[in-house]
Amino acid sequence: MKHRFDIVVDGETVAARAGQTIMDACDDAGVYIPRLCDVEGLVPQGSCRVCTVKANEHPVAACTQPAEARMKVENDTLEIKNYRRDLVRMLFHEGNHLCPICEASGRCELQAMAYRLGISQATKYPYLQPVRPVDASHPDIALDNNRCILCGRYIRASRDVDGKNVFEYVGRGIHKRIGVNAKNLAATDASIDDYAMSLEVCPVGCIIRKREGYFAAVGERQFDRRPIGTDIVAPRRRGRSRPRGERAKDAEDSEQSCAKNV
Amino acid sequence: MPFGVSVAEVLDRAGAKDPAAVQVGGASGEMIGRTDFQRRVCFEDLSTAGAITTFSSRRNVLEIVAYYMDFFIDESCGYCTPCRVGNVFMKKALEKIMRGLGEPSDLDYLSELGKTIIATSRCGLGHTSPNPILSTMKHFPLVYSALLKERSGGLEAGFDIQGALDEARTIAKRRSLIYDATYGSDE
Ligand code: SF4
Ligand code: SF4
Ligand code: FES
Repeated sequence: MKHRFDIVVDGETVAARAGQTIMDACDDAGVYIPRLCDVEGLVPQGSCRVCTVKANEHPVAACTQPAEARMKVENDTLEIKNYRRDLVRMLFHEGNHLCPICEASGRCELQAMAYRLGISQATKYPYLQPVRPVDASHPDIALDNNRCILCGRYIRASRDVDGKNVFEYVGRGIHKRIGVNAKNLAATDASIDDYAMSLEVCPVGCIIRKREGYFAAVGERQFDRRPIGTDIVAPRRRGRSRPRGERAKDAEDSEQSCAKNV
Repeated sequence: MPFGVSVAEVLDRAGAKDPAAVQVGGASGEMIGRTDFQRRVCFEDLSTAGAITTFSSRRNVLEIVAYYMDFFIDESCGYCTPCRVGNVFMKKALEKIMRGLGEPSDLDYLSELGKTIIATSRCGLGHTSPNPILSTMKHFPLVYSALLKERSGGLEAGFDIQGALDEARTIAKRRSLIYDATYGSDE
């Protein structure tokens, strides 16, 4: 039997097991912590920082921070919300995000997060307006890095689920972006059937599945009716059937392997 | 030198001539002015692993700060959002102020952005990279306020209309009749 203990999130008691991250425990309890780079099924990497919470008064990434007995977590406070808004705004301004002409609009997690956090006005940051080449070489997939938020989700999906290592980070600092493991995507063994290319992996409109655009009508898209995070909050009333795994150890490993790339 | 020594004593021993600003603790440390030279080098006050840099009154504090920010932008590994993107935005706002296009609200912008970068970054680089700007805003407020202008009308304050028109002017090979009445007359 795994060691069990309680943490307190915004005054509410949340049960946790040894080995769980703060995010795992909160997901199980139906307490939503906003996130972009983390997604169920992949090792967390703690890079977007949107899941920042305060644990015992110190800001940490909830997706990589192991839960500890009696930990006091602040999640839904104005201070934390402002941090998250700033981070989401930074991601918008780092790339080119023209939602009205984007295929991902309506199912895009960056856009949905902006709505959830109440960002709807032009923001104070400058636009960096990158001009990165679009890779449309592959017959079924196009890559538009101008919309990339560097979440690394398809890097991890290709490496850990597909076992292909099609993608990797290249460059550093503000010039960091995603590269493919060959001259272009067509020259890799990427396939439209890879998990990395599935709709749930890329949170934005960076991976484009050709000939599938705009498959859902406006009003019926993923986030048109329910804000992002609803699927996590809702099970609280039903009793959650799918507990999340023990990812704190995974997170440690990934932090180490990432440190090598730093 | 032992911990607990005052900055003034260090400057004296080093024979610093006309010191006006002292950076204690490397690029991410704290930059202090003359009124703080009695403060002490120790963990409780000005902490440093050994680096202390002095600048004379002939140096422009904002140029030094801009140099430090370039260093952090270069050193950022790019892994996490706040440090990768936020430092670039800090530097851009600083440049705007240095060009004389800043307004008082830019100081709030810099403190809020700096606070987010410090709180949410993944490693020590992002936890300290806004310090050159934040600590000079605190210790050299006049250097900043001397360059800030309150603009009338409130709207689009600090917006550089001539700068924004430049690209269009180049493409169109002519000037704007509305905005360029006096443009270039001093050339
Ligand atoms: S990727 Fe998302 S945020 Fe970016 S343009 Fe498309 S819908 Fe908008
Ligand atoms: S804070 Fe650290 S991990 Fe994040 S981008 Fe800067 S150097 Fe990289
Ligand atoms: S979701 Fe935790 S850092 Fe991105």
